[in-house]
Amino acid sequence: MAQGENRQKKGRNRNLDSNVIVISSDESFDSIDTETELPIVQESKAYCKSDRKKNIDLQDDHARSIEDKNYEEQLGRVKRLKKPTDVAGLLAKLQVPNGKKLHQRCSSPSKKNTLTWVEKYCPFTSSELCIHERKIHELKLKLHDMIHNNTSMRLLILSGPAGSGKSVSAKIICEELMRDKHKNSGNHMKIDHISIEHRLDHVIEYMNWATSTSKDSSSVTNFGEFLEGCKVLTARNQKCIVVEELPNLHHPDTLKQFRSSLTKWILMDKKVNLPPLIICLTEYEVANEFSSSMASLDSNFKTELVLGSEIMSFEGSTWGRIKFNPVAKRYVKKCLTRIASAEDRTITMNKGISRYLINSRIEQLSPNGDLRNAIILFEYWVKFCASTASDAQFLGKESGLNLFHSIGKLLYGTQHPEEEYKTYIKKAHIPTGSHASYEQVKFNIDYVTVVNVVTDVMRSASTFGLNLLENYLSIATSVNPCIDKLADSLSISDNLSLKGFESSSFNGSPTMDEISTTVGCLGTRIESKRLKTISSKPSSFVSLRFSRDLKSLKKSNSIRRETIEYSYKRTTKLIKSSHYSYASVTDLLTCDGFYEHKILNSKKLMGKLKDAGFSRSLHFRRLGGDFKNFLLADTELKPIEEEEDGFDSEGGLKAREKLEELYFGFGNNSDSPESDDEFVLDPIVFSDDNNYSDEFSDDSLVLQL
Amino acid sequence: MSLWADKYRPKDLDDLDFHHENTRRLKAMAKTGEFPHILIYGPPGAGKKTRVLATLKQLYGSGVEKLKVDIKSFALPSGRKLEFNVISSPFHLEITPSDMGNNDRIVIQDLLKEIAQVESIDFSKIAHVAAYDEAKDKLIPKKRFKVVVINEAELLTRDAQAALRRTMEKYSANIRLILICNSTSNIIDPIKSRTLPIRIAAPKPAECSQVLDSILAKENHAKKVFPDSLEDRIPIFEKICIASNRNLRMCIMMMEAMYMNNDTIDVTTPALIPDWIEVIKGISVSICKDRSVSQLQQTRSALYELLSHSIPAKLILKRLTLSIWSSLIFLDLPSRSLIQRQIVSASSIFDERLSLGSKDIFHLEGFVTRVMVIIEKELIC
Repeated sequence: MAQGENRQKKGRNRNLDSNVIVISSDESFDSIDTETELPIVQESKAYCKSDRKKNIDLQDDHARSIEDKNYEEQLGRVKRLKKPTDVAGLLAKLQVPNGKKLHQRCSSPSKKNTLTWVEKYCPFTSSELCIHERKIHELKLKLHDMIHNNTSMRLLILSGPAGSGKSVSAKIICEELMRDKHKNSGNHMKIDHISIEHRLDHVIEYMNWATSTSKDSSSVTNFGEFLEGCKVLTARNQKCIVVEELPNLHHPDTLKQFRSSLTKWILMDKKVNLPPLIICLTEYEVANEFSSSMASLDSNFKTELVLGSEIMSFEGSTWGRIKFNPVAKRYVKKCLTRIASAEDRTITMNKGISRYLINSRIEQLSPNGDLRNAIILFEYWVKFCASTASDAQFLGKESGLNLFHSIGKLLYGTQHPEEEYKTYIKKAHIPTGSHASYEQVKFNIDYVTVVNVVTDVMRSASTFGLNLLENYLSIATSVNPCIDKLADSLSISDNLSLKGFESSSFNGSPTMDEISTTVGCLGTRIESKRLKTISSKPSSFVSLRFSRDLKSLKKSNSIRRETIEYSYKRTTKLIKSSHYSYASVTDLLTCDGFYEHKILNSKKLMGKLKDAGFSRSLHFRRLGGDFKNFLLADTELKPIEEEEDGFDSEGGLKAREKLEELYFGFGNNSDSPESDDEFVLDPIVFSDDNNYSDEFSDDSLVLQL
Repeated sequence: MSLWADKYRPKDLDDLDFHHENTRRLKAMAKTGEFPHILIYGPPGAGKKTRVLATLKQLYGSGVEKLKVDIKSFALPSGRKLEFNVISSPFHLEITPSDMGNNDRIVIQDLLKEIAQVESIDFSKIAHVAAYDEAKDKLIPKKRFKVVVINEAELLTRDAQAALRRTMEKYSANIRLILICNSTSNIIDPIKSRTLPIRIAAPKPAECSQVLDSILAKENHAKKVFPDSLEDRIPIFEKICIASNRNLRMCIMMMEAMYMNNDTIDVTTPALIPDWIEVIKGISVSICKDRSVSQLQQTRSALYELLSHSIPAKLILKRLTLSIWSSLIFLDLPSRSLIQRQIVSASSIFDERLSLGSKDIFHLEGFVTRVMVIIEKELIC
């Protein structure tokens, strides 16, 4: 975390410097160019700036850290890029009609390849967007309402997978709508710490490293400060705020600050005019064996987890959400074809790639779903592979861990033995020819399948085992020794992984993972095969489910926390009355928790409660909750809310306190022999009757609130 | 005020109701001041902690009852800070390894070292020793050592136990350890060898009844709910005792809960069995009734529920085995004893697997499947 923050800070410094440079180059450029050409040039320059940002986006962490080290160098690079001639050169590639003059004047061959196609063919108008018309329409409607203050929505969240066009459409549509609103606003305000895109006059973007570098503003509160600064951008200065880059949400404090500033934003007084705020969230999952749970942001970056339950509860009232899907096949195809025709000259002339080959490649890339990735792959192919390439070498986007597919292969056997064999050769890195041919392996195809699956799932071995456990019964029709052996092999597999030994040197070693997964998978495959041969009727296909283990873990953690809290309260209480003796978590859960709830929920106590004039029925919750809400396995993965507090709400706590007071209170008094008879008649009457009723009425007020 | 189980906990060794031989020895030890390291073990609800506290009182006088809760924080090598509660009196302190997770070695080492060093420069203690020399018989001997009670000692990691073994010798002049655990199987031999083992067995039903009756004698209203004559009460007490598996703590709570939920109690009143045991019973009954794939799936849900309530997997397995054992009566099996033997054998296999493995559900499910197959096979034959 600390590292990440550090990086942010460095990054911020860097950007401030480059911002300064932007402005200075801006001025010098202005002085050089004639007035008529200025807007275009500005546009292109801004564009190239945004491109640079995107570039950085695309680079992986490693590259980023290197960048930080060589930040001086980087600065130099930025400076170079900002020279007016460069800008003009870039502009030449944009094929803006007006740019033609410049093209002739400034273009130099060496600058030709500075832009990747992703940036080069970035759409300019909403008509060019490769998104379903309905989505665009929906987005336009919502944004229009927000811009014209026709709605209570203050925040629009665009969520979806990477490369589905969230940011681009947000920016373009905002800009178009804003231009429509006030066409002649020539004087745009410059705010020091907000980078203003010149092309997108009316859009302000948040960059987590782009804000002020003053020492007293940390990256934690950075986002909040940005939003504060944006509040004034209403009325004549109105701008749309597009947040494409989020602060470092993996840092707990930053996340907290981020949420609280968003909450403040959406809950601000209705009378206050706020500029429309659009947040683009790229959702993704990472198979991370070592993260605490699937429901944490580290492994599961989902809108629900980013915003937290509090903000989620306002969905639809003060903020809206548009979900983007992966880009449909035909749109990817359309886009790639457009690029191919624009680049036609380069492709056919320089490289000599036939149109037929290109079309077939486009066809292959189209189902990708990630437009950005598809374009990058296409470009790479055209530039480097097409002339030499054989099909096998083509690098596709790795289709992530396909859990159910692997499970299906183990339980039902592979459907495509030959493909399986090919993958086996590829994965085992066996060069073709130096080993048994397909015909020879055919009879051993189960083993081949298992090896393939194991290499796929090895890194998340125990998760895979759990999912297998959740699903293996779907092929069984009756209880027989095969099932026993299958369950047995899964149990052995768990033992072999040696995860239970904290100090073992084998713990978490890839070798043990591989061995244990192989045992589990092989056992499963062999027994499922035997099951199939002995079962009389064909097993019906049941949809596969995700393991409940994560849910269970989550629940058990929350119960544990609750118990520890309870134990702490119990200790302090008992120390006060000098009856203390230690009780372990297990003791409390298996014994105390149950009986205390039975005693405090007893008929007698409830009767007393009524006599005391407390009409509201109270229920004392069993420590950890009842054994009734059985966890069920889901067929789809639902991220569990991070801070879903399972236990005592405000009301529950009150009930608890009241009941405890009532029970232990009268228990105390009943010790004295003289109150004996009174107790049987009416236990609450003694001592301070008035106080009691007062307290009760107070409490019920609180409860109603 | 508190629940009866806490309220009527005896505070002096003389007040303890059973295991008098044990009590006598502890008392003798506490009186002479030649106090060894002690390892106390036995099933839950047998009175281990009560006995330890009473012994401490015997050793130091009522000063040990002045307890306070301190929050200790330790900086771990990783830079993280670990905070946990330490309950202490001027004479002893109590720690729980489960609070510390895997860092218990460092924490325990540091903590004991700290206590030992502070104690050794405590001059007042030396003065007391001098006083003790002068008037040997008149004064209660002041102890030069502090007692450290370690709860749930079986949860100490091997590392921590190894560290403890060294510490026990090094600081034996200033520190005495009392380790409390349910079973010694997780305690390493060097520690067993350096401690005086004291086993506290679960009370006999008659002893339970005696304790329960003495509590009723102090609770006037509750007594009215129970039958008047002792002869009528004894069967109820024994029923409670059997239902709670001779866990005295559970016995007392069960009695209190029964009193609160019933207007009158006689032998026919059902005992209030904890919900998790009921769930396990439900599983075993349904296994004996019906063995099918869907049954297996339902069982898995129930097992997951138990596990997510932090009920230890080994406890589940034990209870399940016993409960299946008794549920077998409902089945018409030709060779029941053989089946029972096979089930116990399966149970021991999966118990071992539970110790070795990391995900309990695999092994519990394996056990249930195995049991189903065993019964099914027998029925087909």
